[in-house]
Amino acid sequence: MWANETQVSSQQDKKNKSVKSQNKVDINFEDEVIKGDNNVPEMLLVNSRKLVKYKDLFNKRTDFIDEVESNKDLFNDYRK
Amino acid sequence: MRFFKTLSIVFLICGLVSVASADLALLKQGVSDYKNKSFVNAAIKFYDLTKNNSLDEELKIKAEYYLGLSLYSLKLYQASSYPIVKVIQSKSNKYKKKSLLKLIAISNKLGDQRMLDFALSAIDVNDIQKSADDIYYFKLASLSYDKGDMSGAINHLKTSIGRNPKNEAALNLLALSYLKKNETENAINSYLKLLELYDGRESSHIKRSYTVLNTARAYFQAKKYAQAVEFYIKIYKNSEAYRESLPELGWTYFYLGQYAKAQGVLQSLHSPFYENFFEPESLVLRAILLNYNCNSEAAEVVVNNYNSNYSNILKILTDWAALKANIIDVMAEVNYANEVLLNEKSKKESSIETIKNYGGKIPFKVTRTMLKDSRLKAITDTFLIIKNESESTKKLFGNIQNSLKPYLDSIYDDRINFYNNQIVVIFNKVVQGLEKKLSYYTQQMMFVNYEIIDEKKKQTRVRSNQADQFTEVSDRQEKNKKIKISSVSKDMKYWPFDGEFWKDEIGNTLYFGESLCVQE
Repeated sequence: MWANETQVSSQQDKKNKSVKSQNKVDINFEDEVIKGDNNVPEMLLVNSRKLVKYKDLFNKRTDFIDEVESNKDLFNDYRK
Repeated sequence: MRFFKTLSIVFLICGLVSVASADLALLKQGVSDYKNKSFVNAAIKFYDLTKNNSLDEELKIKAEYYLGLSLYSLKLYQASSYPIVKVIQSKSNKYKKKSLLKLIAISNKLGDQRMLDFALSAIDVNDIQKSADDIYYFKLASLSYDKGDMSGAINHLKTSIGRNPKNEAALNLLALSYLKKNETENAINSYLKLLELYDGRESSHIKRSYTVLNTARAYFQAKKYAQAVEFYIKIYKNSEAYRESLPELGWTYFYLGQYAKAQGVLQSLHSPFYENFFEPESLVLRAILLNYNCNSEAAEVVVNNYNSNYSNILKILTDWAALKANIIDVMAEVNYANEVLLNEKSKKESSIETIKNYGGKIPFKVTRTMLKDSRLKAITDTFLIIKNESESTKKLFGNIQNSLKPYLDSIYDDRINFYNNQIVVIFNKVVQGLEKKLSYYTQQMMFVNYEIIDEKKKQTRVRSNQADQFTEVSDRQEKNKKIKISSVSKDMKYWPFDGEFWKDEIGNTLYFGESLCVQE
């Protein structure tokens, strides 16, 4: 029983293949193949890290206006 | 019957005339008392006249005006503002101009900005221009400055200084207005003119010290770092401005690339002498400097120091809003801090103990910074003036039978209530401001920490690539210790810092560490 079933399925496969082979189109990719080497990322990585380091993440002080403002009342003697 | 009617009318007229003449006599007596500097008697008489409904409107205004002047002369500034405002709001023009100028003077004495705004909005500039003095223009400038109109402020300040070239407040505000416009050259010139006014004053003179500091700040903003250093180092050590100058001098050396000098300055600031000051920025700068020298280990110590000192403070400040503090809570914080500050001033040894047993919810180092906030300082100063005035009324009018005292009491009770609420509002605002500032520096420290880790990784990679230099670095670390001793001249002794310090060491600390960076 098992052998008969396998024989039937193989015959069906052959039929399907013959149907597919009728629509077959050959495409040649030989001219389109891109040839290249793997780049070693180490140098690139080092440079890119340098670019990131170019500007510090923290803010540097550029003025002390708030501090100057905090002592402005010191010079106002009119209350005395 | 007709005769009696006529007689009653005659009596009425005579009565009115006699009342009017009595009022006039009282007014004359009041003016005479005022001129004889008997201000208490004058004030009582003028107050009675203002409550007299039969009095002519013009005379009533005169009585109000003189009541204001009498109370002003008794230094009851808050109370004097009430009759003066009534005169300004009346239809009579006779005393209006004088009252407006008086109200400006009262607002100056009390530091009451709202009163000043009222006076300046009611005043006609063209009307008063000729008689106005430099103070009036300074106040107009202050108003423009507070509104963010720096050009307007500068114009008024120039007029003010034109009328009085020695107006310190105007010169200082002019420089600040220029700084806000980033016109640093003009700012520097204004500060230098202000400094000339303090020629001959002692080095510790507070205004002189702050003017020197502000000049240094103006040079810093102008990116003239070498000149900024010249002014920073002029600040006298015993002056209040000195501690404030240290982190700024650190930044200036940083921009000049003099990292060792910057470290030396910060070392002074981080000595136990200044441990009770709120200084998050200086720790951030110190970590940056150490990281620039590739001294990652020391930089990490600074980061940890920052976290242990300030993360708890940040939480306290964040939680403060949830407490919904009232005036009692706020005044308790202020009083706790003032107690320690008084101990510090009187140089009592127990001040260390006072800090150890500090009762405030907000740490002392934070509250002392808050007390320096101009808004909080202004309102607490005004509150104190009003409380003192309230006490004075009891002394001046408490022993005499008069109708003026209940009126004065109602004024002062009302104002004390108002300022109680305002102090809480402003205190909370200052707490929020400090919380924002500390959050900012905590974020900055996180960035610095990232930079430290990044630098550490980079240096480790470089060292592992250049094994021979790696040993050189560890040699250099050892050498750092030797440098400390060999750099000290023969007549000096190297004393390694181990927690203790001498007061005269402050500001003279040298940093001997050299860069541990390895070039790729």
